[in-house]
Amino acid sequence: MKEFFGFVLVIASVIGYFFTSTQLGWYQSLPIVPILIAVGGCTLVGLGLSQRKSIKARILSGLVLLLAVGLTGLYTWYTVSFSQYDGDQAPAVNQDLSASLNGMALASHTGADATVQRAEDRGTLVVFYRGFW
Amino acid sequence: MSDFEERGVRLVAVSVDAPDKLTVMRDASGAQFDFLSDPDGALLDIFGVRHVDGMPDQDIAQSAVFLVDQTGTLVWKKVAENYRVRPRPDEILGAADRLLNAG
Repeated sequence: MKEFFGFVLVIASVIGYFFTSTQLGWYQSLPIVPILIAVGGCTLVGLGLSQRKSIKARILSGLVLLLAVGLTGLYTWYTVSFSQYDGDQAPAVNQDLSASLNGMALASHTGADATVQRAEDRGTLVVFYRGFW
Repeated sequence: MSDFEERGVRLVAVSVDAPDKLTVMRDASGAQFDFLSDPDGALLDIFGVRHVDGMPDQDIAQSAVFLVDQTGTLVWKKVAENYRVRPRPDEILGAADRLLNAG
């Protein structure tokens, strides 16, 4: 049973992060929490494995532990390394971008061109997103 | 959206997607503001947010938010260090308040 609950803990912590972090913005910055919970889950699976006597049960528990550790490792790699950008190449705050932005137009969702910056707006909030897939 | 409108701030969302995909994204998100297509990354380069090979064989935008004032000066930015982490709306609104309404 320890293996089952441990593995469920790992799955719930990892998958739960992706659901909850979109709902709770502040949680995006805390991937360490699911990592700690997943490590706890792996420990639980390991504890279960250590108490198994028969070879068959030990192999089964070992496989569960392998999966749990693999999933935890994959999640840790994704959050800590893979999803990391190279760095901030953006212009500095207070830099004048008017020469580049002036009159610049891009195709909008309607298909028609739309200027990036309009004279009537006090400011323009430009949100870059990765895209739709 | 209305919080930004009240402040006189226009929102635009930019990606390298073609206009038809922008429509899908806009409808899915329920957003009311303009979505702009930047397939060549011209705007991405101005803001320095080109994520080279972000997708297989394709450059995409790095997740980032910029506030440009009426004169074209960059007054606030939030560039994600990690694409999991996005600026929160209250954080952006706070910056808009400080930088646009305080003056």
